[in-house]
Amino acid sequence: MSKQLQFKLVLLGESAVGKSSLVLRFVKDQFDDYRESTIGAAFLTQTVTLEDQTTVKFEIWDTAGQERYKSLAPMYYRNANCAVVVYDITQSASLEKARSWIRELQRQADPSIVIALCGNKADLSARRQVSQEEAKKYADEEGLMWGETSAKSGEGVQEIFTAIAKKLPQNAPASARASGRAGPSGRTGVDLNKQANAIPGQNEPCNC
Amino acid sequence: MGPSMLDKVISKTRPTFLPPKPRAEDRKHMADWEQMMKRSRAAEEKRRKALQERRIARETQIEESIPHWERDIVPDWTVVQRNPALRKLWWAGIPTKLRSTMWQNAVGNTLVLSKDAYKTCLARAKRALNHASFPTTVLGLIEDDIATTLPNLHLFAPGVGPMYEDLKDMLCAWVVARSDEGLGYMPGVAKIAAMLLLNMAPAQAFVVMRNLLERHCLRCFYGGLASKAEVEAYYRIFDTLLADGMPKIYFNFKQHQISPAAYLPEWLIPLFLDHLPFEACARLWDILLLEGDSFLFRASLAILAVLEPRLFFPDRRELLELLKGENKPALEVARREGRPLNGAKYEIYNVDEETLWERLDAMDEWWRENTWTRLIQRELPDL
Repeated sequence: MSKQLQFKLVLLGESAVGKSSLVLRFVKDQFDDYRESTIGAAFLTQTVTLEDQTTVKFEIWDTAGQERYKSLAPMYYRNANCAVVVYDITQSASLEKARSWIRELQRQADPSIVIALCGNKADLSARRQVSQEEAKKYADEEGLMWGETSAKSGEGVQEIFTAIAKKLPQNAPASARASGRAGPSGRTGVDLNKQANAIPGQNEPCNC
Repeated sequence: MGPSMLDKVISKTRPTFLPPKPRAEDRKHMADWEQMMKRSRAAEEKRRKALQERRIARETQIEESIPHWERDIVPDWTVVQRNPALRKLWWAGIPTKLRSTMWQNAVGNTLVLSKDAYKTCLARAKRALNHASFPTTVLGLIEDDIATTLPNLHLFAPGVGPMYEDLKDMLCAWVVARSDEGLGYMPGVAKIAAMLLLNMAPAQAFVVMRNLLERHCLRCFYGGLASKAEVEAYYRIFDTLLADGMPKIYFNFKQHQISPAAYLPEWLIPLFLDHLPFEACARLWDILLLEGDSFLFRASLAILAVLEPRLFFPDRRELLELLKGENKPALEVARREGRPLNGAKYEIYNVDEETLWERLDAMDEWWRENTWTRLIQRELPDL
C-alpha cells in the first residue's frame, strides 16, 4: 500500500545564495537569471514519490528576510521536520553564515529535525571558494546531509530533496508527521493534544 | 535631447521674481549644496549603521541569556515579579525560543478556558459558515482586517499566505466567543491574533488572545459603545500623564484640540502592530504582557516622545495627518533616502526599536507607577 507523508521544510541561508531559485527549480523546474530578492516569506509545495511508492509532500517555507525578523524564528521552526541550509560555493562567507544557521537550528528547532547543508551555484565551480572536502567534513562532524546543487542547470536539486524525503520517514517520529501544520493546500487541523496553558516548570524542548 | 539654449543661460536656482545669481555664485552654491547633501547622506548612513550594530549586539545578548533564563526564570516564572534583576532581564527581551511559553505564563488564564475552547468555538463557527448563517458583513470585516495584517511578511496574504487559513479560523472562532457576550467584531484584532499565531499553535493562541483582551484597558477599547465612559476615563488618564511628562506636546495638542481619541485607539486596538516595526512590537509585547495596562500607556508616551520634534505643527489637520502616519514630507524624505519601509506606519518618522527604547528608558526619570495607580483610582473608582 502506498503511504502519503507530509513534511514542513524550511529553507535558510544568507541572502543571494539562491534559496528561492533552488525551490523554483525543484517545484517548477524553472530558472530565472535575474530573480528579485524574496520579500517576506514564500510558500510552495512539491511532492516526491519514492521507489516504494511512498509519496512525500513538502511544504516549503522560503524564509527571506529572516535576518531582519528575528521574532519570526518560532514560526519557522515550529513543527519543522527538515531544514535545507544553503550556501554559495563561490562565497566562503556564505558557509560561515550557514554554520550560524545550523547552530541556531540545533538550539531552537526540534532535536529530531533533519538538516541538509546544500552548496548551491555548482555551475560556477571555476570561481569556487568552498571546497567539497571542507563542506563535507563539516557536514559529517555535525551529522548533516550534504550535497552540491545548481539551481541554474538543475544538477543535484532533485537528488537532495529526494535524499531528504528518504531520510525523513524513518527519522521523524510518527507524532511529527501527524501534527505537521499544513498550509493552505492540505490542512490537517490543529494539534489539540498540546496543553492550552503551559505548566510552569515544564520546559519544552521545542517551540511548540 | 539636451538642455535648450535658454536653459543653459538662465539660472533656475532662484525664484523667478528675483534677479538671477551671477554664474560664479550660482556654481559655488550648487557645489555647496551638493556637498551638504553628500554629508547628510553620509551622516544618515552612519546613523543607520550604528543602530544596526546596537541591534545586533542586543540580539546577541538576548540569545546568550538563554541559559540564565532556563536556570532562573523557566522553573518558576513568577520570580520576575519579586526579583528586580530578573525583571530587568525580562525587560531586555524574551529569547524567541522561550517567548511562546513566557507569553502564555504572563497572560495567564483568568477566564479559565479549557484547552478545548478553541476547538469548540471553531466547530461552532464552521457550522455557521457551512449553513451560511455566519454574518457576511462580519466575514467582510475579517477579510479586510486580514488584508492589512503585517502585509510585508506575506504570511497572511488572503488566499495565498501559508498562515492565512489559521488566522481566518481563529478570527471566526473569536467572533463566536464574542457573540456569546453580545459583542461584535473589532477591526484590528487580526493583528493581535497574527502576532500570537507567529509564536504559538492556534489553540494556545486563542486562549492567550481571549485572556489578553479581557484585561481592563483593552476590554474597554474593544467594548464599543457599552464601555464609552471607561474609554473616556482612559483618555483623561493619558492626558494627565502627557501633561506631567511632556507638557509642551500636551499644550500644543490642547491648543489644536487633539485628544487622545485621535490616536490612542489606533495604537492600542492592534497593540501597536499597525504603527511600529514588527520587531519593536514583539519586544514591546514582552513587557506589556508582563506589566499590564500601565505599560500600554508608557509605550504610547514613548511613541509621542520619539515623534516630539514633529509634533509642533501649528495646524490641526497636519498634526492629525502626521499621527495617522501620512505626513507627506516625511514620506518624501524616506523615499528619497531609499529607506527600507516594512509596512509599519511610523517607520517614515524613524520610529525604530532603538530610538523607542531610548525614550522608554529616559522615562524612568519621571514615570511613577503609583501615579498610574492613583489616576486609575480617581478615574475608574469601580475597578
